[in-house]
Amino acid sequence: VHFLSRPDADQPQGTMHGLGRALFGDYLFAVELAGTLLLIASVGAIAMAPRREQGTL
Amino acid sequence: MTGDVALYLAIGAGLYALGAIGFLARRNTILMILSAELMLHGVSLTLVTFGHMHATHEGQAFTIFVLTVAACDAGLALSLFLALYQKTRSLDIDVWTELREPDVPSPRRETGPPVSAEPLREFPRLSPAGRPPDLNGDLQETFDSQHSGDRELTLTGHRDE
Repeated sequence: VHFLSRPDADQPQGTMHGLGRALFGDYLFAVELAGTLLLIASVGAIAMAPRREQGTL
Repeated sequence: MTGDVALYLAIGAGLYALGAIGFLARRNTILMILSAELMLHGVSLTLVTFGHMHATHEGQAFTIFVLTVAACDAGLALSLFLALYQKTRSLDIDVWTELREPDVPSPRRETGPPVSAEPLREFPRLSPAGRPPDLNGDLQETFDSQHSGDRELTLTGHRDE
């Protein structure tokens, strides 16, 4: 008894072509949202980080 | 990844359990955030395995989103911990309990009275043996006579200049 579903051997798996199709086709809006989230998070991290003193690298 | 998919699911569940245990047991903020990352990656492994089982790319695509959120998480957490460390010189998570209203009781569990340390045991001391050195007496004279040679050397050095 297989209580877990088995992968289909017909469809190609693990190709960057299919992954790119999935990411920039079906999930394009989510990709843009993730990029915006990264931008906001980096701006927030820089704003929260304590300042260095003048002249120190 | 053609083998038993149940093994990958078990590894993902194990990673999640280890992360949960570390998150609950550790009090160091950096170790807590590392445990949270471990939980995220256990979930990611489960997602990839599910995507493989259904022969779709959704699992890998969603794993990339999880990695994005984890990167935001780590960046914000590290800058927050840096600010906290520069304020209090401590990485303990209990420092955050000071950030509450004055009428709110402490969320820290009372752990009973503090355990008093044992008084220091008195170790036996060695009785003084031999003659104690007398630095004001003849020993000082021998010290001076030994170092008078050095003084002559420096004098000759000055003479050479």
